[in-house]
Formats: sequence, C-alpha cells, structure tokens
Amino acid sequence: MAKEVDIAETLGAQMKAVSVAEFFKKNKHLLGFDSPVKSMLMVVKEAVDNSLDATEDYAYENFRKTKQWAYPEIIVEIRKAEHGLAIIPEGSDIPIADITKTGKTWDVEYFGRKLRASSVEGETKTYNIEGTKVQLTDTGAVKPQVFVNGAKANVEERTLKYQVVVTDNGPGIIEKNLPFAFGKLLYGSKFHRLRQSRGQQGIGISSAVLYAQQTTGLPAVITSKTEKNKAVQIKLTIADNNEPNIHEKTTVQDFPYDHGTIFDATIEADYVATGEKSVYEFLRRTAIVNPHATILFISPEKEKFKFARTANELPLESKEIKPHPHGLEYGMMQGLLEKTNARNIRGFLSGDLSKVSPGIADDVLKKIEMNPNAKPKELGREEIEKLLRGLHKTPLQRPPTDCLSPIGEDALKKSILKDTKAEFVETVSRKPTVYQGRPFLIEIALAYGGGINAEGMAERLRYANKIPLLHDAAGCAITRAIQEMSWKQYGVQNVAQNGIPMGPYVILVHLASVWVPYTSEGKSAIANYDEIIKEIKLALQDCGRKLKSFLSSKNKAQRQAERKSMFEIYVPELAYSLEQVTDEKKEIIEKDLKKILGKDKIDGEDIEEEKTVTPKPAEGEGE
Amino acid sequence: MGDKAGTKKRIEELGKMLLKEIKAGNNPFMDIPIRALSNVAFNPKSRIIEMGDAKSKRYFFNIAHIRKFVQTVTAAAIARELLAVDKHLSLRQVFYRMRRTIPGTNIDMVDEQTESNEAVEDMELLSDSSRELLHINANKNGSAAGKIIIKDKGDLIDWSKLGSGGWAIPSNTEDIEFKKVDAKFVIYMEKAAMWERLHEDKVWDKLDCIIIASQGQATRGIRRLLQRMNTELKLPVYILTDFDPWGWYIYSVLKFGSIALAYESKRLAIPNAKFLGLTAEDIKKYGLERQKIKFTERDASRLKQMVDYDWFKDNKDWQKQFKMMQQYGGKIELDALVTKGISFVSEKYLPEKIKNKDWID
Repeated sequence: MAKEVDIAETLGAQMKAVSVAEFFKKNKHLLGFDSPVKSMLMVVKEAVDNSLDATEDYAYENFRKTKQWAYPEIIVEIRKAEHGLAIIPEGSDIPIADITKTGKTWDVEYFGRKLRASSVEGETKTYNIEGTKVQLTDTGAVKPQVFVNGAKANVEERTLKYQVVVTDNGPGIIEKNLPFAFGKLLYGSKFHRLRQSRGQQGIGISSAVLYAQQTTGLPAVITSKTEKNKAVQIKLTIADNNEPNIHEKTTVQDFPYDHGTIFDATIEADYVATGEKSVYEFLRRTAIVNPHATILFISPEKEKFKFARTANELPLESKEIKPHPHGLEYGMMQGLLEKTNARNIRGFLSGDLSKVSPGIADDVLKKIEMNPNAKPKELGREEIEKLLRGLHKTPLQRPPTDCLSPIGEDALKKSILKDTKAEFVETVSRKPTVYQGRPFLIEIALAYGGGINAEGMAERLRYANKIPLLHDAAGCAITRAIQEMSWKQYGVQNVAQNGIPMGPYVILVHLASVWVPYTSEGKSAIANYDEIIKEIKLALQDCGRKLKSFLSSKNKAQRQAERKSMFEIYVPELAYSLEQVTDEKKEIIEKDLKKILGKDKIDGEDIEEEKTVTPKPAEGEGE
Repeated sequence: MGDKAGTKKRIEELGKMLLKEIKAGNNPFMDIPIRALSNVAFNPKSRIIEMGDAKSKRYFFNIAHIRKFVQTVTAAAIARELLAVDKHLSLRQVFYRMRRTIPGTNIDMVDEQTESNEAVEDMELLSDSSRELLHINANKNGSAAGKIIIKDKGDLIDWSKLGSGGWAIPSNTEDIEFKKVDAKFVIYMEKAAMWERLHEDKVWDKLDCIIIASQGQATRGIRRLLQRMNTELKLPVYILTDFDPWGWYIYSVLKFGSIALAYESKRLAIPNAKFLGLTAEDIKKYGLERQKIKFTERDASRLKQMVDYDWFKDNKDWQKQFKMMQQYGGKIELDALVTKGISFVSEKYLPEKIKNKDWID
C-alpha cells in the first residue's frame, strides 16, 4: 500500500516565497510605474528624492562642523538611448507599443514585454493591448501596416529608451554600503522612524533600479565618491531574492564634485517636454519647495534649465520624536506597549510618549484608577482602552515641532516669487498640530497676477514633505480644502463651479508630517482627514485676507486711474461752458484746468457724495 | 428775488469766481444750498417750509461731483445767453440744449430731464433768482375756468367763456392781472379728468367759484396763481386729491411749500389752503370702499415719511387721517366719486362739504 501523502504537504510544496523583486515586477503599477510617461517621472522622482535627502544630510553635518552651508546641487540629465519603431495611433502623439524586426519576423512589444505571435511577410496578426485592438500586417515594405481599433495608425521612428542620470553633491556612500543603498528594496533607516522625511516606504531608489533591469535588461550604474576616497563605480541589478547583484566594480578618476553620487539608469519610458506629467514640471515644483537647492536639468534635446537656489540657509533639520498621546489608536498603543523597555506603566507613559511628564502620568493613572506599577506588556484590552480614553481627555502640550522641517514663510515667499513673477505673494506656515497622534503642519503660498497665466483655473501646487504630488488631484485633501474655501469672500471674482478660483492665481499647499496619509502606494494624493483639511483652510483664509486687501487697494488704484480719465473727459466741457459764462477763451481755461489735473493731489477730490434732494418729488414738481 | 440785470450780473460773478479759483490752481467749487429734508425747517409762525443755511461744496475735480458741476455751469451759460437775447426756453428745451454726447466717449451730458431741471434749480439758488428770472419756463400744464376775468399780455380773458377746454395756465403767472372777480372761492384738483367733469357740470357757475386742475403735482405757475388769488383776492382755496400719500403730499406742497423748492415757499405756499377731500371719513360716508386699491410697500413707506414731517407732526387732524389710512392699507382715486353718479361730485359732494365746512386745515 502506497504511503498516504498529506494533501496540505502537497499544497505546501507548491507554495514558494515571492521575493520583493518578483512582487515589484508584477505590481509595479501600484508603485506608480503604470504608464511609460509616468515611469519616466517615477525614476527621476526617486533619484531626485534620494539626492535631496543625501545632500541635505551632508549640508547639516557639514554645518555642525564648519558653520558653513554646503548648498545642495542636483543635476538631472535625460539622454536618448535607443531608437526604434513605435505604433502611434492617428491623432495622437503617444506611442502605444514598439515594434522590432528580427530577421524576417516583426514583434510587438508593450511596456518592456514582447507580445505573443510574430508576423512574417504577407501575414496579419492581431494583438490585444489593454483592450486596444492592434492589427499588424507585414506588407514587405520597410515598415509594416498597422491598424489600431480599425483605424490606420502611423509607424514612426521614436526614442524608446532613455538614460536617466542624476548627479548630486551629497556625502557619497561608502563602498561597503553602496550595493545595499541602491540594490535592496526596503533597505535604509527611514522606514520606522518618526520624523519628516521624503521617502517613507523605503522602496524608493531601488524600485528605479528594478524598473531599469526589467524594461531594458541593463544594470544601473552607480558612481559614488566620499570626501576621503576615490570614486567607486558599480553596475548593479537586484536578484529575485532581493539581494544586490554587482556586475562590475571599478574606481573612477573623474568626478564632478569632491563628494557625491551619480545614479545612471537606462529605462524604457516616454519623455514629455511639458505639462503636469513632464520631468520639467516635476523639477520646477521640486525646486519651488526646496529653495536651498540648485537643480539643473538637461533635456533629451540638450536644453539646459537651471532652477537656482533662492534661500541662503537650509530649513531646520527634522528630529525624531516619540508618539504624542492625542490621537494614539488602539493598535498603535498596543504595539508601543509591547515594544517598550519600561518596567511599569508610569515609566512607559512618561518615557515613551512625548509631552507626558511623570506628574501628568500620575494624574492620568489616578483618574483612571490604574496601578502605576502595572506591567505594560500585561495590560488587557479594556485597560488599554481605559488608558487611551484617559490620555485623550488630558490636556497636553502640542507635540514637539522639531520633528518637522517646514520650508518657512520667507523662503517660500522668495521662491514662489522667483518662479511666478507674481504681483502679490502671501505665505503662511502654520504651527504644527496633530492628526492621529502624528504631528503635521501646513504651509501655503498664494500668488496673484504678474507673470501668472490668467487663463483658466488657478494653478494648484500640492506637496507632501516637499515632494510634488502630480497625480490624483481630485481625490486629494488639498484639492478638497481649496474647493471648500469661499474664495469670493476674499476678493476672488471668478470661481469655477468646482470651487477653484479662476484667473491668475497660484495656490501652493505643503503638508509636512512625520507620516503622510497617502491614499495609495503611488503617493500622489493625501487622504481626507478633517484635521488636515481644517488646517489647510485656516492657512488659506490667512492668505485670503491678505489677498483681499491687496486686491481692494489694487482696485482703488484702478479707480484712481478711471477718476483721472473722467476728469480729462470733462475738462473741455467745463472750459466750453465757462467761456460762455465769462467770455474767457476756452483754450486758456482748458490749459489752466490741465495744470491742476497735473497735480498729485487736488483738494476736494476725495469729499464724499454730495447730498441730494430727498425725497424725490412725486411727479413733475417744479415744472 | 432780484431783477433781470441783477440776475445776469450774479451769473457772471459766479463764472468769475470759478475762473479765479482755476487761475489760482485750485479745485473750482460752488457752494450749493442743500435741497433736502435735512436742510428745511417748518416755520410754525408763518406755517411754511423754509430753507436752512446748510450748503455743500460742489467741486469740479471730484468724481462724485463733476457731472453735476458741469451741468450747473452749462445751465448758467444757457441762462446768461437767454437773458442777453431776451428770449425764453422751456425746461424741456433746456434739457435738449444740454443733451449731447461728450466727444470721444459714450457719456451724455444729461441723460434725463430731471438732471437738467436740477441744474436749473441749483442755478436759481446760486444766482438768487427764480426760474422765471432766468428766462426758463415750465411747460404749460393745467386748466382753469370760473367766474373771473383776467388780463394776460394785454388780452382780457373771461374764464367763464372758454368753451369746453378752459384756459391753459402758463408757466409764469407773475404778471397776470385780476380784472373782475365774481368767484367766492377756488377749488384745485390734482386730476384733469375731474376738472373736465366739473367743468361740464358748470360747477363754477352753480357754486360761484373757480376750478383749477393740474396733472399730478401743481406747477410753480399754478401754485403762484393760487397763492395770488388767495392773498390778493382773499379767495379761500380748497383742495381735492386722491386718497393716497402722493395726493396728500400735493396738498402738503400747495399749503406749506416743498422740500426741494423750499427757497420758493414764500412765493408759492398757501398756508390757509383747506383740504376738502378725499378724507378717510369720505370713504365711509360716501361708500367708496369698493374702489380700494391695495397699498404697495412704496405707498406705505411714503405714508410713514409724511407722518414724521414737522408740519404734520403736531397736527392732530392729519395724524388721525394718517392713522386711518395706515389701518385702511389702501388708496382710492378721486375719480371713484363718479361711481356714485355722474354728477354726484358737483351736485352732492362739493356743495355738502363746502356748506358743512367739512375740510381739514
């Protein structure tokens, strides 16, 4: 009799650990790599975020040593890497797939993936690309004939692959750590700490490395130089087991800075020159909220754009903090109680939470009648809830503000002024407050007029922790707060039906927090927390009041001009009539009146409305 | 008010004053007496509305004043010319004279006749001369008939022999001479239709009186004529108006003078004129309720204003009338009397009221 095999064992043998790299390959759309245009942006964004963090770290460290600021410099260059044929639907400019000829067969590739079936001369093959029907016929000509959803499409030479090179003057990375910093997902110190930082999932730059290897098969090239050592260059991919795979390691003589890092990856993506999803726009917006950095951009067409530094010092460095009791939830509390090293609950409250002194801890425990010597790890569900209620009811100081690194009102004002060339700019940096026990603060810039485009709706610049949010505007708390403002009360004349001001306005909203509540992994919209929306609105109202008084004095100036032209209109009329009353030549009267008009201030011109006859006679009185 | 030569001189002086300010580099201005309720006072002794001394400065270089300023100077120019050539223009013609579009703009010097009328009224005050002295007339308005013979521009006119149309009262009644008077009183009414009715009934013959009508507010010509008949001929003046705040204000103007023309009260007001009807009691007594027209908000607020006028404030009879009208909440036209019979007014209403001295003072 054959030995019975446990079914669970059979099934278990089929299961295998899915590596992070494997997971990414299948779910890259979740991380923002969901279209060729967006993928370009994601790679640039991850590299730039990485560089900004690194250069700031260096600058702060250097300042502590030398009392001098080493200003961050980042160079972003995008080069055309490989040309090929692309299918471009009629009336569009965006390719939907690439085609390549190998020997006698045509292959269709979509997003780095070769589709099934090849076409040989005289043959028509049909492909389904995300619901779009593509038919390819090899007619024997240089290019095949392609129909997209039944309409003839163009086949054009396009850049299919781009090389993204991002250089910074950060501290550089020591040789030992270099492969891990770029070649291992979820590596790094950012993930579990409670302070404001750009990346918070820790996927970051390694996802760009993965994307490169998956779309072009090419390793990323990382070159890094520290102050004391020669530059080291590695060619790197990420293995399926989430370990860095070094293909080549060399030392390099030439490096543009004394220290820093160059990230260089070749990716399959699309480059757009302008618009919300362009690299240019992303860098422009990044530069606005990072006024202490200089960002240089070299486009595939070799155009150079410089976003120069406008601030002379870096923003306050963010520090790690302990969780604040207000808004602490059950799950988080439970986690903290489990992890704590405190021996009793009194020690836990005053040692592991911010703004709870031993005295306050005693008060809270007395009120909820809990033994101060209770063991944190032994608290039951009801006790934890009782403790949470007690903490929530206790008035406490706001969480420490030094975990946040605001841009600052002055720096933001200077920066937005340089970018927009506006007539009016007002900035507000709110005091930190909390949502869900996490400190956050809101910064706003409101700009009007001058160089701002007057057509259409106000430009909205959304940021979280100094990262521009370029997608999902409709679902974002920032958009909602802007829409809920009663803009007309603040002198804005035209407001679109959706509540957004129309005309030459730029509205910038920055949420800085130790933990940004994104709506999705793509990190492009902020969840609708009441506390956050309320703070944004308060800040907008502050700016709005300033805007209102600016607009009303502007209107006054306009009225002044109208007043002057009104005077000019009536001067010849008065001269004409007065000539008939006095026999003085009207030309002379006119000349004298114009002399008065030339004065800066004419007595009596500001006196209010004359009193008029009231009540009006019934009908025809006086006739 | 002064003579013709004086008027012309005062207009020219105003011009010189403006010119002097302009030459000195100052903002030219005029001191205009304020023609508003705030600047009139009821003189309980003479029982007329008199104008106060309050003036407002009207500047040329002032966006709120400039239009009126130029209109006023233009009115001065027109008056000066009229005096120089010894011709007259009507207010309507003055309006057309002033009305033109300022070159290169879409602004008209005047849009409505009230604007040019007000400019003329301001000039009256500035030159201390009545409109007649400025050689500006109102349009003819009003009809008269009755037992009197007058002389106008050399013509003798017997008001009892004027056919069906009666005599049209001119704008300037200053120079009319009263030759032979058989009338014992004057009835004034605000409606031409009522006048036609009474004239057809020859009520002036039956009651030995004069009947005079305007259309709406009485013109200055009518008011001056009524005042002269009252003071020079000692004829009582009885007034008939609609039962509504607007009609009663016509009575108020005839008797006490108007707010806008308070400076002319002395020449125009008839402090002992009597209000014959329609009174609140008439409505009940003669059964006119069915003709009620509901008050609009405007009517009600006009009534409220009148309640507070100084010249009515302490008048118990009038306060009673106001209160009753307020309670009644509606108005009734003078012509409602015709519903009681074609000749009800001339055969019953008027003889009864006058005989019983059923009026309000």
